[in-house]
Amino acid sequence: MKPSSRWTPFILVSPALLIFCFIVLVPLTGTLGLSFARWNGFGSPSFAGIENYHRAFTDSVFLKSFRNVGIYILATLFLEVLVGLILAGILSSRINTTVYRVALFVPVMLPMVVVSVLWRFIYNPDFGLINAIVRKLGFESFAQVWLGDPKTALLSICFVSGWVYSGFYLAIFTAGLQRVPRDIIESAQLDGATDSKVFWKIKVPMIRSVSEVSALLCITGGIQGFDLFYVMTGGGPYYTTEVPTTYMVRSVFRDQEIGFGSSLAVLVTFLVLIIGFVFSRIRKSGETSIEY
Amino acid sequence: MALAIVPLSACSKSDSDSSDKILRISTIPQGETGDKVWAQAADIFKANNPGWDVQFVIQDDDLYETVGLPNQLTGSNPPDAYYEWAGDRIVQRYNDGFAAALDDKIASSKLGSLFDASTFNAGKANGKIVMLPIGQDVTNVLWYDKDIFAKYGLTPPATWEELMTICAKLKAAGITPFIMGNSGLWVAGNWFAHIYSRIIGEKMYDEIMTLKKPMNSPELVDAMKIVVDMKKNGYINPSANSIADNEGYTLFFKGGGAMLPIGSWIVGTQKDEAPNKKMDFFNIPAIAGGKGDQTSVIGVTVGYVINAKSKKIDKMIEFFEGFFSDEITAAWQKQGSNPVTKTAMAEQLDPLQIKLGKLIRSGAPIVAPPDTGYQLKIADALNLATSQVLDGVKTPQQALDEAQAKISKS
Repeated sequence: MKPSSRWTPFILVSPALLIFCFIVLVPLTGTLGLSFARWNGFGSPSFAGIENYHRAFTDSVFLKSFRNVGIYILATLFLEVLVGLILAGILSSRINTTVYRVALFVPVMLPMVVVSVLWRFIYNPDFGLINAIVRKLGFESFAQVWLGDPKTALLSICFVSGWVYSGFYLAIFTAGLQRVPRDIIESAQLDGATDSKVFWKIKVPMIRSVSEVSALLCITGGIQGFDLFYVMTGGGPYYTTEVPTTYMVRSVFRDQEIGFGSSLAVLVTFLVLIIGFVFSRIRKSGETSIEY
Repeated sequence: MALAIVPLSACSKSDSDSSDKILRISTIPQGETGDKVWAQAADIFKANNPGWDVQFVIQDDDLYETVGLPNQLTGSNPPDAYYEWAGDRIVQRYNDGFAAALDDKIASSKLGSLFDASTFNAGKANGKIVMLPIGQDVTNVLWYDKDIFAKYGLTPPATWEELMTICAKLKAAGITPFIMGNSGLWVAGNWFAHIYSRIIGEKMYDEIMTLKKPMNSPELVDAMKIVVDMKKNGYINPSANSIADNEGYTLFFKGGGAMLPIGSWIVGTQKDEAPNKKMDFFNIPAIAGGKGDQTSVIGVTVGYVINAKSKKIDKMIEFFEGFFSDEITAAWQKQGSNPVTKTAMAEQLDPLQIKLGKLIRSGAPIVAPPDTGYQLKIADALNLATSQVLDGVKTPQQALDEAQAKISKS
C-alpha cells in the first residue's frame, strides 16, 4: 500500500528520530565538541585543539584504567560467563531446579548500588562477614583489608561482579540450552555419551551464538562498568581499581575538567564501538552451518 | 552511555524560577537532631510566609563537596542557598557567578545585628561578604577515649614525643592508638597536612598548596617521614585506607582504638550514635624543631552562600534571619554544633563545643585544610601522596614526585 502523501513516512518516523536526536545525537556531538575544549563547567569553554586527547594518551592513570578494566573483563569472562554456562549446564540436566534458578538470579535483580554497599559491609576489614568467619575459624592471617589492599581490591570487585552476573548469564544460557533438540541429546546418550560429554561436545557447540553474544555483552559491559567500582572503592586504593568510566567521572565532576573528561568519554565510546565491530566481523567469518 | 554523561549534566543551566514559592537549600547531613533543627527553622519561615515552602537537598559530605554541589548549581533546579567552606571555594563560587554579594543585604536586615561584624571576615570573596557563617569547624584534633586513657593512666600529651610514648604504651597493651576511616583520603589528608604545616611552617605549607613551591619540595619530603614512622610502628588501624570516615567513627565508638583524628563535627555524631561514649580531645602537640607555630589550629569557617542566580535572594535573607535567630541558635547548640552568632558566642552549652570554640578563637594561627581551603586537585594530590606513604606503597619522595607530576600535567 502506498502512502497518501510523500511526507507520510517522514511524519511517521519523526517522533522516533526526534527522540534519537535528543538522547543520542545531541549529547554525542556535544561531547565530541567539548572534547576539543578547555572548560570547568562554568563560564565559556575555550578551544584546546587536540590537547585533551594528547593528555589522555599520556595520562598514566587513564592508561592504567584500561589495564584494570582488561583484568576485570578477563576475570568476569570466567566468573560470569563461564560460571553462568556451567550452572546452566548443571541445572538444565536436572529436574525441579526452579528454586535454584530463582536464587541464582536474585542478585541480578538487586540495584548495583545496593549490591555494592552490601559487599562493602561483607568485605569490611574490621567487622565484615568474611574476616569474621576467617577469624572465627582461627585463620587470622587470612583476614585481609580486602578493598584497601592494592593486591586484593580489584579481584574482590571481580568476585562481586561474578556473584551478580553469573545469574544473568545462567538465564541466557538456560534459554539457549532449552532450544537444543532432545533427539540429538538422546541419540548421543544412546551411543554412550556421558552428561559431561553431551554438555561440552554437543550442547555448548550448538549454542555457540549465545556464547558469543554473552562474551560480547560481558566485554562491552565490562568497559562500561562503573557503579561497582565507584561505590566499593571509588577507584582506589591508588588507582588500582580505577576504570575508564570512574576516571572520566572523576575528571569531569571532581576535577571539573569537562573537556578532558569528554575526550575520555569519546575514546571509551570509540573503543566499545571498535570492539563491537571487530566482534561482529569475527562472528561472521566464523559462522558454521550448525542449525537447530 | 559514556558519551551522554557530560552534556546532559553540564549544559542544563537555568535560573531559579521566581514564580515558584519554594526555597531550595543544599547542604550536608546534620544528623538526626540537626534535621529537626532545620525543620524548626523552615517552620518559622513558613509561618511568616504562607504559601511558601522550604526544601532541603541533603547530600553526603564527600559527594557534596566534590561532585554534588557543582552539579546542583549547574542543574535545572539550582539551590537558592548552599552550604560552603570558606577559602578558595567561595572565591571560585563568587567568580563563577554563583555567590551573591551580601554586604548591603546584611546591613539592611536583622542579620547585621545577629553577628559581630568581624565574624563575616572569613566569608569574604574579593572583599565582598558572600557567606553567612554557621560555625567554625576545627577540621582536625585528636579525640581520645577517656576510659582507655584513664585505664592506662594516660594524659593528653604536650609534645609529639609524649604522644609517641602514649602510642607505644597503647600498642604494647594491644590497643590500636589511632583509628581512621580514610577511604576518602581527606581524613589522613587533613590530619597530616596540619602536621606538615607545623613542621615546615604555615607559610611554606600555603606556598605548596597554592603551587608557588613544588609539591616535592625537600622540606615536605622530610616532613612526610613522620607518616613513615607511624606506619612502621603500626600506630594506625591497618584498615584505615579501606573504610569510610563514618566507619572509622563507628570503630572508635565501639572501642576499636584509643584516638580518632577528626574534626569538631564528631560531637554531633557522637550525640546521635554513641551518647554514652566518654571522649575529649587535644590539639596536635608541639613538634620539636618544627618551623610552624606549634599552637596552630587547622580549621575552617563554614556557612551558607546565597546563589547569585536565585530570584529569591530577599526571601533567602528572610529565611536566614529566622535561621540565625536566638531560638534556632539555641537548638543548634543543643544539637552539638558550634554556631557563631553573638548569642551563641556568649553562651555555649556543650562543654566540648566550648572547648573547641576556645581553641579556634585562641588567636593561634588557623591553618586551612587541603580539601576545603585549596583547589581540590591540589588537595587530592597531597592527600593521595599521604595515603600512599601511610600504606607503605610509596616513599615520601616517590609519592610527592608523582603528586607534582600529576599537578604539572593538569
